[in-house]
Amino acid sequence: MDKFDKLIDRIKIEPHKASLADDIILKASRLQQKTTESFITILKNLFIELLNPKIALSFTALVIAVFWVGLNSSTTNGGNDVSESAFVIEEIYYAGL
Amino acid sequence: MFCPDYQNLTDEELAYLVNQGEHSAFAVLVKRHSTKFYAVAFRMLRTREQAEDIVQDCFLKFWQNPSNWNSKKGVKFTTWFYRVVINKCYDALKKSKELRLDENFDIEDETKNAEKMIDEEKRDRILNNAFLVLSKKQKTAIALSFIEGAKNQESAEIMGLSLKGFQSLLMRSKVALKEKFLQSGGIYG
Repeated sequence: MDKFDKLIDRIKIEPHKASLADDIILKASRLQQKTTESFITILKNLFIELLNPKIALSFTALVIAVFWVGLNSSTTNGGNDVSESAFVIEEIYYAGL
Repeated sequence: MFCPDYQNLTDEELAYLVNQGEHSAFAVLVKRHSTKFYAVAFRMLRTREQAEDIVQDCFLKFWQNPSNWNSKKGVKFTTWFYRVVINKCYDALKKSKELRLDENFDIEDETKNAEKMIDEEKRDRILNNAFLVLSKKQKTAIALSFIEGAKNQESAEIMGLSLKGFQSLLMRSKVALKEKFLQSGGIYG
């Protein structure tokens, strides 16, 4: 089997392109960049959105309304009657817009 | 470009750093092993581009999900990665039209030219064709037996076999290859 083993060793391997490792490293680096970029973009967009006065006001109104509803429902009627609270939320929210 | 200390780290230590998002550690692993992984993929697929793509895909997937390699399981990084590469090669072989070519490999055609098979290039061609006809497990066993510096124990682990099981498979694979080579008119010695 020895001679044949030597022959098997002759099963040719074409060399890979010289830049294979560098290409992989570069692509991984780009992938990392893309992930970071998309995260930054999300943060940036969120920040811009919050800078928009209308949206900022609506957002604040919504937070206050939710807080108010929570407070109201825990103190009156055992939290069952929310129709009035919902109306108030709606009013505050649209006032913001 | 690389942190010089990284060169002295083991594969497992580097893989751990990759898990922490260390690109330099990833780069050292790629530089250290891409040629070996490529060699196995090429031996199995016989196509340069496919083998390169597979090595690249496997490394990029590892970069994106480094936790896929679990050091706690006690498996060497290279053993695990060879498995990943080989599984990818199996997928590629399934999809590849070459698989159908394998089945239709024309032994008689080669036999007609047997007398003229003194030319080394032709002999290599017969050997390559005979290799292509082997089953995927036989191909894997032979491909792994030529990993630089790898022992049969590691090859057995890569294939999920016992040492004896791997040795037996390797022997059968070589016998099968020899038979197909001789049937195709190959001459050696």
